[in-house]
Amino acid sequence: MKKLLLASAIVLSSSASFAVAPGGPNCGWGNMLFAGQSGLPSHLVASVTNGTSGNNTFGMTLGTNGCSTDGTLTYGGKKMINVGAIMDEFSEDVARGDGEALTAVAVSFGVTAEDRPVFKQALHQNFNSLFPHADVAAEDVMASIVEVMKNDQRLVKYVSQA
Amino acid sequence: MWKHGASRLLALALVWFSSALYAQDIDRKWLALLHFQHGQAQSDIDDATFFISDRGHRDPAAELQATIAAMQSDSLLRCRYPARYAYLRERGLVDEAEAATCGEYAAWRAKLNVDEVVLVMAASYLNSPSSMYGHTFLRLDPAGERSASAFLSHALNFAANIPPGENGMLYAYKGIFGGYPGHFSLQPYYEKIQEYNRLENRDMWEYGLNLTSEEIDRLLGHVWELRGVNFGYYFFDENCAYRLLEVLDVARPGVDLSDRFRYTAIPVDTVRAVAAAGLLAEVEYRPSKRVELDAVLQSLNDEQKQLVEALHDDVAVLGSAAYTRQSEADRAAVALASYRLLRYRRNRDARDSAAAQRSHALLREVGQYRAKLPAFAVPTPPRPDLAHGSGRASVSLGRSDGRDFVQGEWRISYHDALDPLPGYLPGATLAMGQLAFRQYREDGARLQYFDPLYIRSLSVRDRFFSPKSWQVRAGFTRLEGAEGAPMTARVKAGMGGSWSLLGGVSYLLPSVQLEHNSDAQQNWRLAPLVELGQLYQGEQVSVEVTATVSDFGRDGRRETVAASLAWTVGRNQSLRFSAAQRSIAERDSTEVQLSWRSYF
Repeated sequence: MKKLLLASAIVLSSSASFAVAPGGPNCGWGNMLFAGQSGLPSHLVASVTNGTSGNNTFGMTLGTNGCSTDGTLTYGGKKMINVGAIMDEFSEDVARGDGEALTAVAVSFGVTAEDRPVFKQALHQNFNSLFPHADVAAEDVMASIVEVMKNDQRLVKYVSQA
Repeated sequence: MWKHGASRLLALALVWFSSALYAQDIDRKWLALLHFQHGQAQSDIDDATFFISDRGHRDPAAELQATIAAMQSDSLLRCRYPARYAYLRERGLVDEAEAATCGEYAAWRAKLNVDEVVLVMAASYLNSPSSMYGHTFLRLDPAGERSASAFLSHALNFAANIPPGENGMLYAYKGIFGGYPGHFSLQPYYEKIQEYNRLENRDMWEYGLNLTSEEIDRLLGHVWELRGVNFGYYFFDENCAYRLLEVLDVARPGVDLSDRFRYTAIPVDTVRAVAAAGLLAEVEYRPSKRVELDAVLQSLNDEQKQLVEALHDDVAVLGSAAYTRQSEADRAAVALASYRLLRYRRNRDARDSAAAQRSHALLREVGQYRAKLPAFAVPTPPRPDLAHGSGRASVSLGRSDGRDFVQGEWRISYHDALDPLPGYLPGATLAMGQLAFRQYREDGARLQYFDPLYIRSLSVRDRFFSPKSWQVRAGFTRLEGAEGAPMTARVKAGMGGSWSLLGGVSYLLPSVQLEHNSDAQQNWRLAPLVELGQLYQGEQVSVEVTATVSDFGRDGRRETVAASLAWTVGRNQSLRFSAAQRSIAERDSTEVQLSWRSYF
């Protein structure tokens, strides 16, 4: 399966090239905003044995519920959290201007602690361009984040280095 | 023939002798690595692939010998068993000349880059009995910048592996009595937050552990050894909580946590054991989505609550005068409450385009008032590990039907609505293995009741939420108040509602009771039954009043009015007074009882 592979060469040429969906087109619930959690096991299943149904793996693979990944998602060699899997939390954090999901995305982009408030503020102010409508997909959100960062003098360094 | 037999005997004797030589080398650390409990003849791990020796499952000395031999000749095994290898090196039982380079293991460790380990407990879930004991797993926090958000941590979870499409009843049976293989798995921690905080609306408690880097090294080395190893999964003893203790036993030799939970391992009790062993650092509370929603709703007045419901259904209300005349801070709160309510209600559904659009519009509205948005801090509730103990013993003095009695009662677990509340779910009762003997002045002691199971869940209904309340009780009990107080077997089940009224909770539970009574005209009977009650649960005092009516046809009606008052004396002591007025087939009687309850 495809990874969210954001090669640094592409970064320089076109932000549209970021649009590689994590896990590919068959990726499960995480890919769209407000997709709910119907992909998770029912609470009965989950609570007696705290179990999962089948495909949970160990070791190098970190399961992402429907989004098959055989390794870490990367962005220019940096580990990138699967934004598609945390879209609901992330969008709420962007609206409120803070939160763990937003922090995790900032850290994934390599944004240092001192630049993180700038990152959060920039994304918050661009809520409408990150989430222009309810049907926005994770890949477009990723592209918009990069666009916002490129237009900020404190944040541009995190997306322009080779 | 004889000669052949003798040489086999000799060979066996040699094997025995050599492993006897190793037997003196066996220590607790080695036994912990193999999951042998203190004094137990066999390992808790049934999977043969975990052992190098054919006899390793029963013979730790043979496994030690086989491990040493195998690691001398096969360097790959050093990578397969990093914790064993480290242990043998530490004891000088393998030569250190050539340190193994384990690419896959090293890459895994580098990727996790664990700096801290947290024991996480997902607390009880409203209305789900099987979750009432909670669930535990480990969180692995990365070092450095990545420690800034728990969304970048991993969860190490022990769970049963369920085949897809398994039948529900079979599932519950096998989950409880065994039949599913359990294994350790690793996943992003945010998936656990989504599963517990969001999907099941369970609070999470994060107990930081003060493990040293050497101990974390041992823990992860051992977890790597358990990769792909199948365990039996049993709800009561060899469950998630127990398996984590086994891993912690390896991490910090000498704590011997798993030994204390040979028969049952209730997650909160294992957390207490971890605390008592001095492993705890900081404790954090992560409220469920429902709790976060309640925190916003509680800040609103009645008009604003109406707006929340209206907005939930139609975002055009954002333009209404009723909404726009609110202050900016109030608009932010109303929009946030409405957004959270919508997400809460849609949580289990498939994606719905209209609901997604409403969610989006509400979220954008919340974003506009960021600066004005109140924090809506959720107060941290009492810690479950500091709540009363899971077991209970009681002694009572009383008078029933004009005769004095003493009664002793024992309950294996866990909590009823009149036990001290702090740390437990309001309105919840989960009692398993409740047994009482009663002795009247003129008689010998006799069984009064034995209830293997009693669950009652009172979830309050209001404008926004409409959960059902229900009860199940099964076991044997004396029909006190009837002629001769015959022993009956009965199963009672009912479903109804609870409402917040009169400073407490009022409930109505229409039920049915299947009863066997050999003294009755009709031995087996299914009787309709209605329970009406009022419950007040306080910090110090709890009170419950109930009225029960049931109709046993030819064997008559039964009516009971009962009142109980419980006074919390300390975390693990309480005093309870109860009185009941009964009418069984038009035979009236009373019972009063004063009991001392002690929790452990």
